[in-house]
Amino acid sequence: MKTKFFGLIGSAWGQRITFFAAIMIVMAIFQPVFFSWSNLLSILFAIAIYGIMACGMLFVVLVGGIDFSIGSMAALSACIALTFTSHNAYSDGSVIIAILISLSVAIVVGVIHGLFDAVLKLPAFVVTLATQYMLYSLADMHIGSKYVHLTDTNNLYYAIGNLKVFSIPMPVIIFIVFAAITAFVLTKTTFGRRLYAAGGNRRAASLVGINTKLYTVCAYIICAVAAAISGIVLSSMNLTASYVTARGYEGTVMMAVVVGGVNIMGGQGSVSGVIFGALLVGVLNNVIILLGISTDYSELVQGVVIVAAVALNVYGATKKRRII
Amino acid sequence: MRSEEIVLRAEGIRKQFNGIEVLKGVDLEIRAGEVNALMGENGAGKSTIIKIISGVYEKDAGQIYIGGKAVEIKTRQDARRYGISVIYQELSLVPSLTVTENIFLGQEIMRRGLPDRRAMKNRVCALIDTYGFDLKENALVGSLGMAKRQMTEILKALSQDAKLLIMDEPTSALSAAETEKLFETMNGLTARGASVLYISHRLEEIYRMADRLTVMRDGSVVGILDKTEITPEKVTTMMIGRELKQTQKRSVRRSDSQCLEVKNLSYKKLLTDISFCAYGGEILGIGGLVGSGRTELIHCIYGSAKKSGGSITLRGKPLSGRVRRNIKNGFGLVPEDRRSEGFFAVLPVERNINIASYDFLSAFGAFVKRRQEIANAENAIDKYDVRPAMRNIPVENLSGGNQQKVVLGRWLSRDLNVLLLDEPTAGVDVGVKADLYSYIRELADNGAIVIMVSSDLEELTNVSDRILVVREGKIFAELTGGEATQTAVLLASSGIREAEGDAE
Repeated sequence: MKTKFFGLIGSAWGQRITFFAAIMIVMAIFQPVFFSWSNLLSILFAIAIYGIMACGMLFVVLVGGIDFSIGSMAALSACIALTFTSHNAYSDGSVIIAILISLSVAIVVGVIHGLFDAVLKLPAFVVTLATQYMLYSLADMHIGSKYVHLTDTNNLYYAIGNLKVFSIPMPVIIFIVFAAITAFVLTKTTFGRRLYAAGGNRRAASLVGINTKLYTVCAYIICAVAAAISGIVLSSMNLTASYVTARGYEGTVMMAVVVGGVNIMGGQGSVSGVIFGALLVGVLNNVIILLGISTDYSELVQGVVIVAAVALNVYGATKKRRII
Repeated sequence: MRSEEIVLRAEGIRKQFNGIEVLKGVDLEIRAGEVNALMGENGAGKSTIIKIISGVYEKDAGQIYIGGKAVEIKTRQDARRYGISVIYQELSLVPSLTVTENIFLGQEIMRRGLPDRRAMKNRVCALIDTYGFDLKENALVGSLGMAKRQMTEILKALSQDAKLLIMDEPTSALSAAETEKLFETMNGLTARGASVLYISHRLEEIYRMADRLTVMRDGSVVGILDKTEITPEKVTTMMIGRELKQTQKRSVRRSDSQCLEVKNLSYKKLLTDISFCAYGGEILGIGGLVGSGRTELIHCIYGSAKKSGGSITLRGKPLSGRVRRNIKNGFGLVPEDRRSEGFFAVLPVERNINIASYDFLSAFGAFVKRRQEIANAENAIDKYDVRPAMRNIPVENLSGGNQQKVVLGRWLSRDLNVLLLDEPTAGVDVGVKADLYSYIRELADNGAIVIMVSSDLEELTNVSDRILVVREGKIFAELTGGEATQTAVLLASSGIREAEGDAE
């Protein structure tokens, strides 16, 4: 009985649940306002944006890569989509077309990242860090001013970020749908099976007939598109986009992925883990604000929690009994 | 420069691992200024004795004498202090540093608390001059070829006043020209009175370089030959011992219609004009030395290496050059290096077994049929006795033998026409080996074509029905029936035909 209990605590989910329980108790004592509907809703909003990006990032990390350009990808696609929704010389203001243009740009970026990683074999870390700056610059050049605003609040674009269905906000629905699709692709399709294999051991994967280059490129495309979607959702929520939209999100998303137990070397990780990671990061940000911890310390607290979570993951992994 | 002075003498060295005696009282004697070659089959105990001399393992019994004095070598530092250095196969150099920096890494000559670059440079230049090496002291190690990297390693040893250098198959990664260079280096060493303990599988190198040859078998030294006494027959007989002829005669039902034909195959500069047929029902063994092109041959057939010329046909139809297409047509490959090419360490057993079979484990090639997937994996685990019999644990948590069962099970759970095996039982314990052989034999008995590359002579001769020996990218010999003895394979690998008994 006793070993079973400790077994649960020792398992990844046991730790996660324990962790959340601890946060809940602390909040219940010090800041019951945490549990108010409006606060929970604001957490959900944040998690939705991080969560969509993290699901995309999951594909790339599973295949053994990394993408640091997702924040700027979100900014660029938000800027592109928003400018094309307003009537001007290039556009009749069709929201669908604007979004499609924006997502096409993301696909192109994903293909470029994928080719750099899979074909030219340059370190993804460096390549995506470089494209991060390039995409910010492109976003800036594209809008040609500091901000672009969403003026028409009656169109589809406004609905993406602000509509509620059965009082559930649209961004949350988009996140849930995206996560569900990700989970389906990763666990129920041959694409998912082969993606894990390609990330687990590229050479072995190619020896069982998997086109690892193709899978790598696909992963980067999915990641860029996820970033673009979250950028569009974010700009709709904020009614504005600029080249600082989603700035720095890649760090938060990486935290969510790592805290979610995804193996940064590839081949290991799950959607449920990543959702947990996004939840943790979202809740943590919120808790820090509610507890009145000054922003000077908030990043410190985040860092400590991340290291603790990762240490727990690694420690848990090495402790696993070796079965001969 | 050979003298009768003895640098190192080992007496009655014994070593056990998990109750299995690996060294059964080994005596070894190395004289000053000689190249002493050490030969023996895989598992004869060569590496173990080296590791004991160099302080990696501790011996269970016996005594080592250096320069006539009894010494205890307990750590690598001890060995280094007594002037023993090992030139490792995976070189331990830092590519981004220069030759000099590598040589003095961790033992820099200091002056006023700072590394004295000039002193170190002078020391290295002096060493290079003394031994006549063709090496620049300020070259970046990363820009050097394998031979020069080995020279650097050797210099590093010499800078620590090594009297005995141990080289474990140093030529396996070298080209012919680089091998020449290494031999020159070795001659330079012995001319200056240093000794070399040289381990190699290549008979021709031994004839050329060795002053004396020590042959090991099953954990003991079975003979010491002087340079003039070294002949291929003597060496192979000593290495193999009395060869047990196969008692039970296998009835091979070879089906000539099921035929994989390789014609005039060439691959880069590694394979030239290879032609042979492999038939259903038989296990075709491929022997030869590491680096002779055996592995490349297998990969050309499988489609994972692109042949430069020639044709490969199965039942008269040319093969696809694509792995995926070939797998669909019933091909399977168990690659040489399990860990880096065979299995997916972090993925569960189940995924490792099923990964090549989604052509029939999915609907429309896209959606996984979960129930069949589980059934397929559990079936393979059960049939091939993978232990522990759990489909959800990562393969990295299994023992080597069970990992290989998983890799083999991946292919055997499919309808196979052709199974290609490259060192199928490397690092697998004896019990599991027998299991693996029986699975392979069963597959052949069911009419599949099996081609098996192996360096393990016993395995090669006992398991295969027919053996091709590859040497320097060509098929040197085909051995069938009674000819297919370990001696014949070993001689053919070194370019000697048993009937004639002459070197090529």
